[in-house]
Amino acid sequence: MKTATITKRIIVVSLILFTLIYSCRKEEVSEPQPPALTPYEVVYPGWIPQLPENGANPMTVEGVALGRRLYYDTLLSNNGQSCSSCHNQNLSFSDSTVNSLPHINLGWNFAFLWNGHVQGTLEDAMMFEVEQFFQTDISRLNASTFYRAEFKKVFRTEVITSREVAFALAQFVRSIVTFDSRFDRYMGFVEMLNMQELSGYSIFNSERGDCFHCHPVGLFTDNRFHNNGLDSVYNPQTWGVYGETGDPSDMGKYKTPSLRNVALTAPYMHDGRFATLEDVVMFYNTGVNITSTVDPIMTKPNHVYGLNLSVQEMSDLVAFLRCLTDTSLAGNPAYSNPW
Amino acid sequence: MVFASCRTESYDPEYAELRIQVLHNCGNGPLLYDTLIYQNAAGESYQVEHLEYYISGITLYGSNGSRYHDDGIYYVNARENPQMIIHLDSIAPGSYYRMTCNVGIDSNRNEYGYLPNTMENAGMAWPEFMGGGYHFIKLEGHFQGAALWGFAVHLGSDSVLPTCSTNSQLALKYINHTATLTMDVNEWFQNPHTYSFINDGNYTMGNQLLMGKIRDNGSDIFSLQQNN
Repeated sequence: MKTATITKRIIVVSLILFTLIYSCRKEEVSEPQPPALTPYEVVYPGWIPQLPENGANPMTVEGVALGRRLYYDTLLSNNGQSCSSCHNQNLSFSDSTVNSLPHINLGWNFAFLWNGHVQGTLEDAMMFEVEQFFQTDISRLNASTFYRAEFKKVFRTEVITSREVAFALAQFVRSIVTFDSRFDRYMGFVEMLNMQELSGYSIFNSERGDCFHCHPVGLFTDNRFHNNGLDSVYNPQTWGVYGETGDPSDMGKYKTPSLRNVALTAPYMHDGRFATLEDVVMFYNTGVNITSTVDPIMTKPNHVYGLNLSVQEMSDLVAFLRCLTDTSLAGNPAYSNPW
Repeated sequence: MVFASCRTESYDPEYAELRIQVLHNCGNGPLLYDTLIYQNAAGESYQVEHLEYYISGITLYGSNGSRYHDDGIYYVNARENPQMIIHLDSIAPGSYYRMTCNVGIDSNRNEYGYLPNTMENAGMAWPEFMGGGYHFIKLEGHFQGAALWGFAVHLGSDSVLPTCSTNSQLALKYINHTATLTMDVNEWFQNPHTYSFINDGNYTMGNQLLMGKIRDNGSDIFSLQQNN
């Protein structure tokens, strides 16, 4: 009899507890869920190396759109500048005044800026831009009703931090791909290059010109750092990677820029010392300085006194380089100013 | 039961596995980069800055006449990934006395597009104008001539594929064995040919004679040591 009473009490207490617990969960269930995000797919030819993914920042249509807003927004800086101030869409997202590296195909990169100041992912690079280059006042973004709503939609966050800003920018910059040059169409068997361009391609991709070791066909950059013999004497303006690492073997090394759209990105080299592609080719043909840290490729026997290309061959090489221009990039509405 | 648990020696699974760590020496010690401390057989001081290559066609020769062959092609970047591990599985337990492998890719597979389209493989492409396929090895650095001068030992094209051999005893009885495969970089410049950067050349690519010398010298660059 006594046991039955205890059992009843246990059942009653359990029911009360269950009811209480269940009633506490009611609010969570009824809270409206944010709309699902749409995955964004970066499209590029199959012969291009696979685009590395960043699982921590999966690309979405909404994230790319938010990054695009930020890219063109002067709110990011404290001096009226935006990313697009130094990365002009008409110039393959570079700028002739500050000689900025183009913001194209950066998703394949893992070292950024001419001297490799930022290593890692595109998110790391954008974090540098937000926190160090722009020193963005995040409170201004948090004060914006538009941005608060957009960041909440994309990153499910109530408070915007540098991290979300960098991630959104990274998504947009990662979306900027350019693979619709005449050379791409040649590779896709839909367009022929003329004889001069083919000659230039042959020079580019053979021991004769030997461009391919640092600019392998595809992305046209090896994403590494080399001393290409620009200088015989170094100063802080020409230290390159050495300025970052302090390692003497890094003296004069700079990032290999992609040659895609190179005809749009004058002037050339890290300090913009060459105004034209013809100047660049002439430098490699006759002007390389041999120092203790110059890249070994630059000291091959037939390069000691330059490439020894004829005037015609230099012209052919430039003609090929001009085939790497994607004329559709400048007018691509997916990358243009959304404001 | 206690005694049985200690008797690992007699364990003889259906298949053994071997994890091979790839290391790089130069002469008597671990390879150090950017340091002009090495001397080749020709008496030239040199330093190494860059070393990447493929290993393929790993074959183990059993004492009972059996052979184990692995079809894998492994990309090695000695400087950027010094902890490279090659995992061989499904090896018949037993004793092995020799290992051979290629530095590079055999002719059946050395063609553009054969390997996955990664950044590494794209960077190793051998230009179509020069026969296509992939670089087998890129070994670059500087040597002391009249001044500090660069060298670039690049191999590619089927006729200069180095086949390497090492006579090492392996006793594979368990699931998990480990071994160390060590490349002595200095061996690329000696035996049978004393290779001189000054007299032979500091750049091999496209030069069949020089690439042939390096190929021949590559036969004994590796040693294999079983760890357990």
